[in-house]
Amino acid sequence: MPDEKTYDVVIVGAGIAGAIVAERLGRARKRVLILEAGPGIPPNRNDYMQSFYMASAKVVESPYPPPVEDPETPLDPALQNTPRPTTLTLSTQKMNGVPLWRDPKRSYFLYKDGSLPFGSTYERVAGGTTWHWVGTCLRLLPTDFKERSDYGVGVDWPITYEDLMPWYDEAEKVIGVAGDQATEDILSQQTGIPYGIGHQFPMRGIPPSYLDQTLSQAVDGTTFDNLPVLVSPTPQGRNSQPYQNRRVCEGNTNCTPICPIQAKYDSTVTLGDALQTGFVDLQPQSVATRLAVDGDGRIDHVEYIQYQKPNSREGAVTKTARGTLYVLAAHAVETPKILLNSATDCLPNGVANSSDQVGRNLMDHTTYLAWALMPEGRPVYPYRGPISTSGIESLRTGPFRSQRAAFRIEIGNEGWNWPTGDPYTTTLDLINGTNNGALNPEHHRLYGPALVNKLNDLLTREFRLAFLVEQEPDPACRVTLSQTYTDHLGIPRPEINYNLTEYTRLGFQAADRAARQIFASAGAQPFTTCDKHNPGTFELDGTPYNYYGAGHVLGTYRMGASRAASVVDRLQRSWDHDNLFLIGGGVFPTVGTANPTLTIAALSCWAAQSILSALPATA
Amino acid sequence: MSDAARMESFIGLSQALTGISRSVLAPDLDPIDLKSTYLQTLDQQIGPPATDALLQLYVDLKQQGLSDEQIAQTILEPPLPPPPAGIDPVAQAAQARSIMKMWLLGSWYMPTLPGQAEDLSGTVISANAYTGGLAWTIAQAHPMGYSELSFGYWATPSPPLPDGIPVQQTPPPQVVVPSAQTQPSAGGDHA
Repeated sequence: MPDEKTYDVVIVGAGIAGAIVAERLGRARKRVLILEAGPGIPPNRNDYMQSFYMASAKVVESPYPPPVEDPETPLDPALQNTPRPTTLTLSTQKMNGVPLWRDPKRSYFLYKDGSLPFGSTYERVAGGTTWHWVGTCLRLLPTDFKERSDYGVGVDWPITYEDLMPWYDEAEKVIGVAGDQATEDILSQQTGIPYGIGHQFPMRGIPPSYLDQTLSQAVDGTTFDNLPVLVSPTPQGRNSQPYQNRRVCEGNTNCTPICPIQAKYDSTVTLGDALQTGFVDLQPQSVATRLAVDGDGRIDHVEYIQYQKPNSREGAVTKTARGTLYVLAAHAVETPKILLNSATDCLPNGVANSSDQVGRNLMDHTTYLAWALMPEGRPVYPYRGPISTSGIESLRTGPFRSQRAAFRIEIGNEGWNWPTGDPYTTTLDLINGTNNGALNPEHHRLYGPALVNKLNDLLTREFRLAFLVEQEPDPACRVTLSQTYTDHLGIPRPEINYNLTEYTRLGFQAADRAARQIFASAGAQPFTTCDKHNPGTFELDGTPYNYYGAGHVLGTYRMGASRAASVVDRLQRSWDHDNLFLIGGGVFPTVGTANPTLTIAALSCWAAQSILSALPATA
Repeated sequence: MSDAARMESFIGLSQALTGISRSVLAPDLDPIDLKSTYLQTLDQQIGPPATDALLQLYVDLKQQGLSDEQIAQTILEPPLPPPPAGIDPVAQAAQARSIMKMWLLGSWYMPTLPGQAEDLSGTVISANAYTGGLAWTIAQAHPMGYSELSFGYWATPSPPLPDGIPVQQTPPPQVVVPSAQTQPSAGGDHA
């Protein structure tokens, strides 16, 4: 056995949750080890940018390792040390009649029979998936914490908004949220969020896009289901002024897949601060496999495989890491994977799983995408600015929540890039005489000035809305371990069972209605279509809907007030093992309609304090 | 054809096909030099003989006194009479379309013949080709992931297109909200 350093705290996962806890513990002079499955912090982002520039399909995962292969020559997840789900496998493409998401040689996730595909993906690199978040920093609403009590749906959280409020303030400072007093006032009025006396965002807001302003003028003052429709600027984790030695946003319109200048916060910032304390070690290429439990029910060590080269087993060794406390922050799919993989004769359900809730209630903000063209002569100049600068938050709650799922509406500044792949699709349509993007119904084949004119006219009028629909928790939506398939290190891969309840589906029906109404208010022509060949398709009342992932993977080790019905307590501590904390999106009992990163960060700030309290005082 | 003559023909052909002026395609100061990248790509993809044939076709049509519009139409919508042996005008039209796609999208899309499935994914030619894609310019925007503009530019309509991109533009609509909205320093009073 090589020399093993003993740490105060061992953290698994160098994403935003792990980074925040590590930084706070390091500042308090606690010795911390972070095990990261993927590569460490790159010296700069040039390699990632080059991968992005050269990718034919500029999907969210395109900049990051391991490289996303062309679907023609995919890299089998069984041959990767740190495979991850990819959006490319959710395309309409089939190979030998099998959809890619159903093919274990393409898809990291395995699926139960009858499952729908899970729409969201994540990265396994230092910094985690904050490499490609949009930066939206909304808070959950007070009522989101008590949905069972208020609407008879889902479950209540064991904490209230008021409990979390000071930690939201902290998280806004960690991330560097840009927002104005006016933004705060609007959100308070429209959604009932109390921001607290004296609250201020760390920096002034990001200006709303020209599209935002156009839509605001068109829809403000209208109502939907007796609620006001109001466009409001979004608090965002991108710089309106220099902050944390990072630059000001230049509107590269590339928050996903990658901000070229790091004007948008990502957790390598906090990770760097953690390392600078001198008390934190970050060990990349170290994949946690299982937690070992001692006779007293405490975690004894983390077992992990350290590999030397990506996708190679050569020189890979199994090691152990020991600490006083353990924190799993590996992600809402990877954390339950580790817990379930830790099953022994004594703990047949796995670690931290006496409730049988580990892996259950997998949720997302299932997304309804709607797109339209502004009237001729009314360009809105998309493909400019941050991906999103405003939204419609005024429909996030109301009495309707006893009947159907709520949503928030994100206004997109990137034209039809998401729904149709523009500007590529329309450019190719106009040159080839095809109509894949629906803007060339007469199948014109254009060239010369006519081509340029038509392209300019169409591309400058495109916009889309993304409805982030709250997914109702369902214990049958679940991450388990594949009995058959492993990654290259021999670790069982996640097997998913995913579906949407009628409550969630009814949210889509309402979203579709709201989209039509908003487009009509703006005089815009809707182009939303449902492609039944898209794997993300469900039906409600005979009508098919496409759904997309928001990247918000949540709910697989829920917090709760009772050890029988939840995995962690209100402090995010395992009910079963008192030296184990589970943090990140998995603790969400319900998902509300706020993009979750700010809440994950707030909960992580709180967890750091709980962990500090649980450690013996430093000698 | 000499190298210089080849390049001259390629630029002329590109201008005729895309409608975008040579001052944009091949500016006097051209450190990124996409014209050379694209001519080289064409040579690699369809072979120098086919490239030469396409360039010669352009030269011949130009010498007949045809306008850019007529040249593009002749190449892209070839007339029906049988062509000289060894020349397939339909294949040449497809190659010409691939040239247009290079300039607009920075990717190589395989030329396809009627009845074949179009290449819709393409291959990015280089990082510079991606960021030099003129579809973004035509959209009065910038390539996603490559902006040279500064904070807050997105709050106001785009400036007009550069000279050399022939768009009959409607004037930008009146700014629809109070002008304070468009000033970054005043951002947020969005009631």
